Amino acid sequence: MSADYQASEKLNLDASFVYNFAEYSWDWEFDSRPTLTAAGGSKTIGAYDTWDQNDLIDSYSDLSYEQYSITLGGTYNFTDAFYTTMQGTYDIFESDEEYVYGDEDGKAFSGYFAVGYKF
Amino acid sequence: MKHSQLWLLALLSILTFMTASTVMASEDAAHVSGSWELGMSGINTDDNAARVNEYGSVRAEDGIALAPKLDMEFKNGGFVLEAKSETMGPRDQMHEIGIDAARIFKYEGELNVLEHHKDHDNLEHLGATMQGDIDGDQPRVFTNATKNPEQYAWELDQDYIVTRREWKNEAELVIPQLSNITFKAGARIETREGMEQAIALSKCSACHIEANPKEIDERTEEYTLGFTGKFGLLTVDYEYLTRDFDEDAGEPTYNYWSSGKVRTGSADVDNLNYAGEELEYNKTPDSEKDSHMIKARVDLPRNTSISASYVKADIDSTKEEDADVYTFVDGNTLSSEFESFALKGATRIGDLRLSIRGNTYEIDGPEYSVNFTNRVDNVDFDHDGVADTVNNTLDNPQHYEAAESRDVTEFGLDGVYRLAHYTTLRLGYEYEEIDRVEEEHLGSTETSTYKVAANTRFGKGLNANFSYEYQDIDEPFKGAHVGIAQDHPDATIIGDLAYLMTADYKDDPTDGVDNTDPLADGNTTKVYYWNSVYPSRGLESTSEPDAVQEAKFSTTWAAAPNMALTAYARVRFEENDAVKYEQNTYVPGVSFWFAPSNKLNLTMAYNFNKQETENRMCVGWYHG
Repeated sequence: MSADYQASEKLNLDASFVYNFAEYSWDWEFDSRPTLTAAGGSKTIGAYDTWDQNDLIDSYSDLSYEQYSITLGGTYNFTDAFYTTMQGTYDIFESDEEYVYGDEDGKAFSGYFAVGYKF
Repeated sequence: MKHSQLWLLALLSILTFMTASTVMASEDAAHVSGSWELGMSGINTDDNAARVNEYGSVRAEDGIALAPKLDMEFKNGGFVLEAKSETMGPRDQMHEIGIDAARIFKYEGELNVLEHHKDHDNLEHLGATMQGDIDGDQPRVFTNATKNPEQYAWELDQDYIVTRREWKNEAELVIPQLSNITFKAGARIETREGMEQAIALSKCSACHIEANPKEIDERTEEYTLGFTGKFGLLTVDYEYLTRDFDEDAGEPTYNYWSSGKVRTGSADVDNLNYAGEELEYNKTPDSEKDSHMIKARVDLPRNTSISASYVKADIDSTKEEDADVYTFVDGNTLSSEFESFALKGATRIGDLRLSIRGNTYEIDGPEYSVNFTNRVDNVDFDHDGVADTVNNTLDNPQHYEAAESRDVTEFGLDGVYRLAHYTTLRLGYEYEEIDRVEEEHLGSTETSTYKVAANTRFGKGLNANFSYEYQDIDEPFKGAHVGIAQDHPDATIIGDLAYLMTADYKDDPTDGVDNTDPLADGNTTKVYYWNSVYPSRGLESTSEPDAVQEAKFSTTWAAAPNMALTAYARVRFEENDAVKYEQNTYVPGVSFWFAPSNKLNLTMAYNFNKQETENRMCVGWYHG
């Protein structure tokens, strides 16, 4: 959501907020899967074909993160031509699982301040 | 050649600029308007910056930077100069310039600089399968986390950041004495510099996976020359494009560990081409492309038009060679050709707007042979201490044919009918046939697409759009016939699937059938991946749907002059019964704009995206 407010003849304010939530999960359905049979040989297929061998796929695939981004800014016109502007953004990333890219939790504050002139 | 084109473009620009300036001199007085800002930008990050500063606003590292901005327009008679520049930091810049000299000469230039934090896979998820191997000697998929912890820790500590710079220039020239022709020229230079992660796996399936930083130093130069000519009812466009891509960075290296496994008296290492060696990988080849494109359009009375186009492109890709590993038999430059014809007609019959189009193109990819220096025949595949000779000869040189080689035919028909003053109905049909040169392995795909859409307005403040599309895809890419059990007479049906049992690979003396060596690979006693799991693949191997449905809906309600509500939804169903694949996607959303006063604007939006996928899969197991 965003808002733009003309607070006074010389002051304009703006703000925005963005929230993003994402999650991913994986479910096995072993019961519906036919199994191979093996007779003799150096390995038994059935021994490979068990929940124990692959169950980590479930937990490794539970991916989830949240993002927040908050921006506040404003412009003040000293005269019709001369003004100053300022903006600050605070970003937050929270990852609840870190199997693929590791711990990506982070925060960042970025800002901009300037004086300007219209001609 | 490229430098001469640049000089030609520059000389043309200067001469035209001088001519145009002379024309302007006698016209209106000059006028300048715009704004400038002089500021500072800064960023401070905590913890990991890869996501919160993924597209490097300001800069990749914490700190402050000078941040000037300029937005300017200069007018002097028929001459217009526009300039726009924004610098938020050393790697976050945008600069634009536009010149219009009495409509005789136009120029637009743009420079963009962007920094991107690239993904950094920690490889941990590769332990999701077979981490508790029944052999007990190792996880079946392992990384340097266990094999070389120091290298693993060092690689995890790398920052993968790539800086992209793109400089685009487009110029147009109209000679007053030849005003029906516009000459065009363009130049685009793109560079990518930095570092990306490069992941490689070993010779023996995915036993060992290793990541390394790969330096990026790419440069793409692209130049275009062409014209647009209007000759009565006929409009002709021509463009010549030449593009060079060069990669100058060094390649990462992969450590081919020497396997110490001994099976039935035979050591793995004796069968490996590369063991205990560190070899380069992830090489990006240099490439060149030249293309000619010509379009013609005839505008006839009664809103009728006919257009046609022809494109011919030649692409050369130069591969690296390593005499100790592999060499190309007929040179290391592989060539591809692309040729396309398209024809389109459109007309209006009463309230019906009708268009029909056809297109055919051919991609002729390279055929080549590679000689593998260390490849030998008669390897001891079954580890019985004796070199195998049955069905055990690897081609050397090995012949390859590009999977991209294909003939494609496309056809489309569209009709838009005005049902009422604010209501239109659209019906469409598209057909695409892809004939791949490697049809035996990759199949031939036919796609029929049916479309229906309606657009209407309910009074002043409410309008709505709806569309529905159905795709019927016959034999979607790729590898439709790789399952060994497919159509096999001995296959056992379990549920909907066809399976071959391991027992089928052993001779049953009572069945009267001699299948002691059904794969004719010389292996009659052991159960291995290739004689047990591969044969059981009874399903087609594609991961693509053979039926797709997609519906879209959107409506906007402007309840009052100071508010508007838009709601929309997209639903997509994909399925392929042959491989038990199904994917459903739901994307609804709503946005609301409200201005409670002249001084306050509020915008709110909510988007939701849900995708569910169901499919069968084969999780590999490996036994070294």
